[in-house]
Amino acid sequence: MSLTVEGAGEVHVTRLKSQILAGFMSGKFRTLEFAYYPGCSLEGTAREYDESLRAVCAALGVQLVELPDWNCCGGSSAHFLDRELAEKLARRNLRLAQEVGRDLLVPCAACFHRLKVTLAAQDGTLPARGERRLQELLGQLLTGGSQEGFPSAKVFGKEGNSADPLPKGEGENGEKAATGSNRSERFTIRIFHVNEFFTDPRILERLRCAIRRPLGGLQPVAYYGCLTQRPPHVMASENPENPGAMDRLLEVVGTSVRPWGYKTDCCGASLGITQPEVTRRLVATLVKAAAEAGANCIVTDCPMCQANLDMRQAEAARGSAEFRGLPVFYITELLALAIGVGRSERWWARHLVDPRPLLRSVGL
Amino acid sequence: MSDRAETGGLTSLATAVAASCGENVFLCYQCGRCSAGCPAALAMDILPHQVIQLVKLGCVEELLQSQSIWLCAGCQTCTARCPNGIDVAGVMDALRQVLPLDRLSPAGRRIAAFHRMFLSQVVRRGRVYELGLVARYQLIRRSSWAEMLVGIQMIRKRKFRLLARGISWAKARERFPEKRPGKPSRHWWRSPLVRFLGESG
Repeated sequence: MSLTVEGAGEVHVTRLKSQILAGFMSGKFRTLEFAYYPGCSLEGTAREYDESLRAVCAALGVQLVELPDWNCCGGSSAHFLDRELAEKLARRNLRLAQEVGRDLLVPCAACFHRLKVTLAAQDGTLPARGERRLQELLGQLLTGGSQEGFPSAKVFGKEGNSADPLPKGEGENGEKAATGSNRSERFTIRIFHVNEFFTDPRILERLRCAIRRPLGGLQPVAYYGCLTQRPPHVMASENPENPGAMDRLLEVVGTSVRPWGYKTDCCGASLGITQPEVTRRLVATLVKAAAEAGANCIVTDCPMCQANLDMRQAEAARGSAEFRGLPVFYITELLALAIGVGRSERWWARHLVDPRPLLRSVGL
Repeated sequence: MSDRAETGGLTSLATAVAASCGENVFLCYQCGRCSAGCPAALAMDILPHQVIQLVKLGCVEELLQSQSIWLCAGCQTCTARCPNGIDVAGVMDALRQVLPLDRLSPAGRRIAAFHRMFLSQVVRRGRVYELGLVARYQLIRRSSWAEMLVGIQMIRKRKFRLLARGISWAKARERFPEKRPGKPSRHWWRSPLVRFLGESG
């Protein structure tokens, strides 16, 4: 159901919080619309992330327009094995978002990373330095030297640049050869991951209004992981070694968030299936550090981190009498809980380290 | 082992890496910060700064035998911390793409196989079907019981979506039938997709 509010436009009120509706009526808030790219994880292992994010956005009066017919971003595998394919997959999604014409919300850290890197490449944030070096190198190479046996070098030769050295300065050809894509198309949208999105002043204000049940008793550590923070010159993160956006959100919902030193240390999720023994050691280090920091749960905004930390802890807990594991929440699950929306019982049932005993013990 | 080319002291390996990712490994002065921060270093036989040195020297065989470039988790810590601004994780990506896959060490082959399975799903469906991917990998690679148990628990907890979802351009496959050459080539999985994306772009 929707109604038209003067000055604010069309407002969907079905799951809107009354405080926010009051804000709309008084002209304090306007409708906000974002394009939304969930990604494959949020359809599968991270469904509770998708559901809780949608519930919170509906409650805050933020419309999410899911990209029509989006495709997988290629994850780690595409840029591991095929740089060209990785960029094409990302560009198709960016093209869809450009058609929607709104800023894009990308909850999955891996998808965010791929799209942001691709977006940065067009602005020259990313390969500018690399390309310059590439030209220096190739200027020397192309006057002689053999590249037998190296496919990428051959691909480069095929682009028709092998006859003359690259021009100095702006290297259109170098760019094309390095990425094999059509650079004439330009994306003007901005993309946000969940922490950036909710700490945006427009949305944070609504969040503050809507909170009904502060989550006192929870002592989380904020775990950011790798992909929304690095490389820092691309991600433009405020403080890549010690980020703070999620900590701020956790304070807003009333938890006593614990400081710790492992906010951006890798949990090894991309090796989770192929090298489980490496991942187990990385997860053990993180969980131990979180417990030492006095945390009773871990909060993250990355579906791979959540699945990995949850799964490996559950595995360790099965083999041990005293270790129960720290529940691993998505940040949006806690926001939804504090606002009092969404079917949280269903979400908790899908966690491998059951968070219900902890939530009961703190009266939630 | 070195394949040093005749011009300017460049090895063809370093040049191929530069052509693939645009990074100049010769900026590295071996400070070792990449290795100091690497989460996977605990399992690596050659540390990241040593990998860079081997690229500089053009030591292809050593890199093929090592599993280090396949153990890289892609966390970008090395890239973030390199004092000379080398995208070390990008060099790792480039090496995976530049080195001949059919001569890899067993660990490298196993990890590459997983990523190929992942990409072949992306090409066929347009999206990843997690359950199918994990089940296929674990059955083919005969994973340990501990790994299978984790998988079973995730199914019981309904973490996995049981039915796969795809996107409409998966239909593009009919227009661009996938060619499987008699001998598996490096890039067999990407031909129809790349052609389709190329056309729509």
